[in-house]
Amino acid sequence: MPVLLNDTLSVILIATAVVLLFAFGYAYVILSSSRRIVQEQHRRIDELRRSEERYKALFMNSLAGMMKFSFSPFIVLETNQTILEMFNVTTDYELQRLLSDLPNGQTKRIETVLHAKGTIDAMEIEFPTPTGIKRRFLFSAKREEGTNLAHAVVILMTAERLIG
Amino acid sequence: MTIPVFAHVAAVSCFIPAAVGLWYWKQSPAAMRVFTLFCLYSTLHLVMEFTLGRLGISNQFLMNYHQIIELLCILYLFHARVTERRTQLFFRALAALYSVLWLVNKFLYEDPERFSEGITIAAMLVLMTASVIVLNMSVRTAAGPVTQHSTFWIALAVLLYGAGTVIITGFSNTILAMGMEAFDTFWHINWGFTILTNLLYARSFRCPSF
Repeated sequence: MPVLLNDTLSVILIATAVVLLFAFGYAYVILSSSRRIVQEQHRRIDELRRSEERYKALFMNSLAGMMKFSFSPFIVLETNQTILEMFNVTTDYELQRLLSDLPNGQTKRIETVLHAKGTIDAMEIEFPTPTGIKRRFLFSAKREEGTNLAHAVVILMTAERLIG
Repeated sequence: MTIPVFAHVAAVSCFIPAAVGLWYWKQSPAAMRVFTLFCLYSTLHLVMEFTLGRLGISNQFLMNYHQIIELLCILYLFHARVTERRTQLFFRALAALYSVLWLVNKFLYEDPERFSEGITIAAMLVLMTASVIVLNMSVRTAAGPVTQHSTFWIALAVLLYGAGTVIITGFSNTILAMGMEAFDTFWHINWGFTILTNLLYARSFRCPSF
């Protein structure tokens, strides 16, 4: 009888050890998978941050005027120094007031085209500055898909003094 | 019959998650508050078991009730954690199926003086399956290390406790028939896993996310 008891107890112990081994193994796999996923997430975040920094540097140091804006309603969200200098203003808000008041319905045209096509390819816009100078610009923009936001590049073409 | 020291340590360890749960009560989400209540209930259950044991009254019926309460509480917790509709339905089905099995066992087969092995093993297997699903889902969906989620520690505790004790529980009446000495020796494994489970439960309250 003691032999039978020992056999039964050994089977119980071995079976428990096997089940436990599986459970610990599974827990180890879960933890190492989680660690790997977190490392991958960190790597992607770092990559995104570096890419964002590169974009910011390009945006800020560009010789062309650049801005990010909402075309409906017209709100300027982000600008670089070049575009502020082109329009002879110092803040995003001043630029927004200027652009939302462009003569001959040009602001409305920008909104309509962005709504319809999603891009504006070198549209000519002009506006007279308070100092009596009429400026012409080439305005290109691309809408962010599914939003009312767009990124624009503006190039100054001419500046001519208004007569009278 | 003298109760081994290790059994006392295991019994005292039941107070730890209840105390930690109460300590973190204000910061805890609703599901973790339910878990705190479950830990408090487990402590009360243990005190009652001990008291009845000391008075020489059979406490088996308490253990038989404890299974279904434990299973429903933990499944509720896991149900609150998962986001997939299919998995939630699966957990609900498991809870319903087990409740039916438990009732059938209660009214047709249960001997109040005897430990219900079959229904206990069924509960352990249900909880182990649910734990594996929750652990697997945590890795796929957690925004950050899984160790920062309370349910990870609870699922891990349930899985390890189940794996360590399911076989012994299945043979508990057989071991008991071999004599108290054999039962005492084997039950050390159970007490060891009880301590580990309670420590992991307590750890779950210190996580920033549910």
